[in-house]
Amino acid sequence: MASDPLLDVIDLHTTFATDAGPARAVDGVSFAVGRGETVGLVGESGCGKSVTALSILRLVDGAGRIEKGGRILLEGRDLLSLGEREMREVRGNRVAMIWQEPLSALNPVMTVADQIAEVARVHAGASRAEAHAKAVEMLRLVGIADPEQRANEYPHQLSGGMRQRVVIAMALVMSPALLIADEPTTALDVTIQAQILELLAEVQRRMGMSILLITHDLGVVAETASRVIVMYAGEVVEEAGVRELFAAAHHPYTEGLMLAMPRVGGKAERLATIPGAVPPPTDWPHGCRFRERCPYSWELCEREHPPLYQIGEGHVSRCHLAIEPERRAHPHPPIAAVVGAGAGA
Amino acid sequence: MRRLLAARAAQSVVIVAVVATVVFALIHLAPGDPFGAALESGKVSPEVRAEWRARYGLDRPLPEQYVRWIGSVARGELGWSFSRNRPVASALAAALPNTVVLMGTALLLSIVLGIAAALLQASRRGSLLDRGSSAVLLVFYSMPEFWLGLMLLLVFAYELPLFPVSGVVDPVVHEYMGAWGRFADRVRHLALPALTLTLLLAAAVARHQRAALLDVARADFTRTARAKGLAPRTILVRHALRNSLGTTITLLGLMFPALLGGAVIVETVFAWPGMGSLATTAIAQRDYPLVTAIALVGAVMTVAGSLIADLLGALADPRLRDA
Amino acid sequence: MSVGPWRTALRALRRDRVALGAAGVIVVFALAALLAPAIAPYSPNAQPDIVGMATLPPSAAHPFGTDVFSRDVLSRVIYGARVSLGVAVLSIALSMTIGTAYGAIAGYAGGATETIMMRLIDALLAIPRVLLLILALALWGSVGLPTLVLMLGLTGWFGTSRLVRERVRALSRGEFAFAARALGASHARVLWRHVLPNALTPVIVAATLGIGNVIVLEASLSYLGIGVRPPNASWGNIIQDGAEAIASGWWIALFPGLAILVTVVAFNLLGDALRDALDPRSPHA
Repeated sequence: MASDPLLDVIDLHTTFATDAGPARAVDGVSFAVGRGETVGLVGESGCGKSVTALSILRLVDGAGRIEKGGRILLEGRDLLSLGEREMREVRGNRVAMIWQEPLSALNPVMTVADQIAEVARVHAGASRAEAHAKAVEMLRLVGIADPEQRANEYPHQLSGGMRQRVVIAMALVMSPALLIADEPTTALDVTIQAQILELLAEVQRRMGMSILLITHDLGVVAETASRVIVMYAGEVVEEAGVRELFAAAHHPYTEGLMLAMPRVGGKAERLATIPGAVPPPTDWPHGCRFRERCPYSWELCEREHPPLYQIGEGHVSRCHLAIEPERRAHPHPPIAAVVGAGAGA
Repeated sequence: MRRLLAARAAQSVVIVAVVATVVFALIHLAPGDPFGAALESGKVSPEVRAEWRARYGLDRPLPEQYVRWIGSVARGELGWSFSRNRPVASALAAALPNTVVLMGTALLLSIVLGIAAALLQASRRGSLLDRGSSAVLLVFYSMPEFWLGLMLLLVFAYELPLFPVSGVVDPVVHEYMGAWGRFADRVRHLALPALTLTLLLAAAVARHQRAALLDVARADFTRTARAKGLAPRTILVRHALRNSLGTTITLLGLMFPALLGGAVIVETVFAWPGMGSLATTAIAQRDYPLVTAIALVGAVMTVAGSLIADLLGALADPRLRDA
Repeated sequence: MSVGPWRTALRALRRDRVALGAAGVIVVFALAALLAPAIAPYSPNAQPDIVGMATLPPSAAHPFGTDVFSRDVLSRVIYGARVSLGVAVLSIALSMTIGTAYGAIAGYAGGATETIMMRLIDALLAIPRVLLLILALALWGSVGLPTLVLMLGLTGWFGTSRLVRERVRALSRGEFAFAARALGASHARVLWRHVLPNALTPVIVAATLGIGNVIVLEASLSYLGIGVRPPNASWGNIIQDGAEAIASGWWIALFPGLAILVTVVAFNLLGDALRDALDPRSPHA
């Protein structure tokens, strides 16, 4: 990892106030993203990865709050210490974010060009004409044919893949140093998915941009990321280079995710699922949070919350198996599977 | 867009035909044959009576009467007004502009006030200002128009003689005022009736627009707008408002019938010489041709109003243009 | 299957203090209307002293003052509640019934039948209700209360039919309707027992909000002299009396108007709360 990371998230805690008490959606997450790097942030829904992303841009609203004590360093500056106006200068400018569903991300009553141009007008003070020209240029950059024509169309007139390209174009106007992509391809057809991922990779090469790619799909991560961070129950549970992760995953949760991936050409077996469900963020269990679903857990796992152990070069894992690796040879049915489906739900 | 226009225009014609049919049905279902009885009254000259019988074929079988009726409606021949002793059309022509002025003024003012109020509320959502305004708006929204008009009249015309009590212009001195004076006179007379209608309609617009703005605020593209680094005010006006205007225009189109109905009633409170006053005097004098014509014209105005609202809505929301 | 949403809605409603307050006000007014003979201090039509006691301002003996005929305004307002509330409730009941039946049939039938039926509704909605009623009441002349209720009811069902048709349409194409038919239920049974109970929630909301509208509408017509006619007192025709005496007796017009205002606000609050509880995704206003 570069010694001078672009983004350095240090001990982030984001809590939501709910009827059932405070929900600690992000509970002490730390990671870094280097320049020009693509980092994958992986986990099931509810693990806190989306909230982490929103926290970086301080877009957590309503009942959510970023707790004091954490820091989010972007090029050395702590984003959490900035005033709202300064933060607005960061958004869309140094850090951009795109989401899953392009149709709802775009304003239906504005033309495509207007929406892209808006970014240039707000951040670069461009005139209408300049901004429009820039918008057309961005549309061309993301591979939309006939950009002058498309520029004056409305979102509902474009196909799903084209809309996502537009969303990407909007994000790239100011050549941000970091692009956060939250499930950018989940809502798209598989073929379009591949095109969009390739587009992102190409843009990254050209602009030297870093990408934080959030997804639940390990397949996507395998193709695009150089490093992977696995989250579970509001915490980072494993982090490794992508090859290392796929070759030698350490944390039992990561193992479970890999086994649950359908593989074309493999034996026709039943897909493995991880029994049980993610515990509620209002009530994280004591000790290891994955314990009830883990096939290797023992008493230590209930007593002590595991820290991030160093497994190898650039590889950490939040699992006590790091100190008692021989237990991996004796798996047992997880507690959740014995108690019944939906235990912990 | 052109197809939308054509389709809606065709629909409007059908709607007017249906309305004319309903009116026809009402006339013939009413007990005692009021039209026939009116013709027999002493006020009507024999020539008019003969012309009427000829045109509407009052001795003919019902289906034939219906065809003649639709025909004359289509040609805009609305008959003879007994109480005014002139063709209905000319009586209406004198009254209609006054109603249009009243409704138009109220509509414009309500749109401006209503949207402004909604923007203010949405930007300070949950504050005392927001909740207080919601309560005030609810009160105005729930009031009977004629009562509000009466109360305004009481306070601002009787107790504090700021505004005149009735009419369009001062009956005595209007002729002698200069151009500016005459304009001011008209405005003073228009003020209270227009205010009555405006307060109610603005309340409805504000309530609806506020809800629409809040709905939009929750939408995904608002989140995207924030991620682009836009300021909250920009997001509210350039994104949220533009998006929710479409629904408000649709609302106005739907409320047009109610607005017309309200205008009709408010006119009677202020003796504003529009269609409403015309209708009440016509009823009192059993001038059924006039009452009927007012109902028909009212329906046509509503259809026109909703057509315009649809077109404006399509301008505001491009998704509707290809409908 | 249809009990679930209703019960949760009632539970949610119970927690909403504003809604409870509104409901309370309505209950009070309804009781006052029902118990009018018992609680009104005077007879509403008694004219004890047309010379000495006419147009008196509010006082201890006459909290709402007296009108030009020396009648006690408070008593008239209380009796007026009977007429105004009664007419509104009955006509809404009629409108809702017709509208639900029409909309259900249209939504369930589908195809050309549905289209024609709903186009007719579009046309009927284009006519301003006030003008239609003015015309009808002018043609019919002096009508009694039952006829008035009938006319109000027959002109107020168009919007409801649209609401019901939308719901029924969505529900009858839904899976459980299909399943019921696969199990041998007839069209009527599916409609009545499965689709309708779930389609009624917007109707309840519309009815509550509609009562407020009709109260104002009837008051307007009575004010114009074509609705409820004397000697029956309705809030609208009391205001008409008050209008004629506005300069000398402002209380005559004020109090019945306040009564209307309070009642309609209460119904609107209750209706809004019901809509939030039963139908949170429906467009507002």
